[in-house]
Amino acid sequence: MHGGQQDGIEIVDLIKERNSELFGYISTERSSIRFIQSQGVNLVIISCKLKGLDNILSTIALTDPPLVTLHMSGTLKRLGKSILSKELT
Amino acid sequence: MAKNLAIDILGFGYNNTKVEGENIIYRINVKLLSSSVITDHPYLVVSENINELRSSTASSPIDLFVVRDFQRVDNTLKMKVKSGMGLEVHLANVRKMTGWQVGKWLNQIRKLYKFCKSTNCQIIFSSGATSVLEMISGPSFDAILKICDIAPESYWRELGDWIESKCYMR
Repeated sequence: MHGGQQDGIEIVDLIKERNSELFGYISTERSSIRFIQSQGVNLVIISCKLKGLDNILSTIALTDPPLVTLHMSGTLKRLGKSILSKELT
Repeated sequence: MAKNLAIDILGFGYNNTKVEGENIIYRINVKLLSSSVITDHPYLVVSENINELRSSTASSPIDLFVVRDFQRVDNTLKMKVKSGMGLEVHLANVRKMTGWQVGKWLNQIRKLYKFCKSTNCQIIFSSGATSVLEMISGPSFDAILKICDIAPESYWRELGDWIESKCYMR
């Protein structure tokens, strides 16, 4: 694992921990929060179930150290495209 | 960055340093208001001190009051708040709270929202960000609004109308 990947896993653990604190362990397990990949030093792609999305979004906004949700998509392909277009702008 | 986060307008703490940008609204502390000359940019007069609010019958320059602890200022606010005023909550402080404290905070926000509705004030959720990394995206705000039993669509519509009435019709 490279450094970015390790950081990504730690970030996902942080989100899981905070989500459990705010919404409970059962809700966190049902949301199936997973680390997908990291891009660069500070960009992490994660996945979760659609029914847990609102909880995860609020958890990300209420986590310390701060994390920012840049984009969401149903597929990795579309997510990659939108990240690329945002990088260009 | 704001556009990437689906945020149309940003509030920027003004301290006599101008920042260019069409989607920026200055936040001027009421203490700085007399020394600041802004004629060409929309702005809001902000206060965090309950003592700076005058009684509801007297005229006040304050557009926006930052509510740190609603439970503590509840009774005073009832006497001093004026129709059309904005009551703002910062999410930056909530990041450091424990789960139990966040639960309590959400309950306070529900009460504050009811209070705003009954007094014709505008509730405003702010990230309280001091850097880009602390900003909160539009969808995350929506998720928090839903937890507070506030419909995101009506919140954003009312907020847009409120900003227009305060800033652009001065």
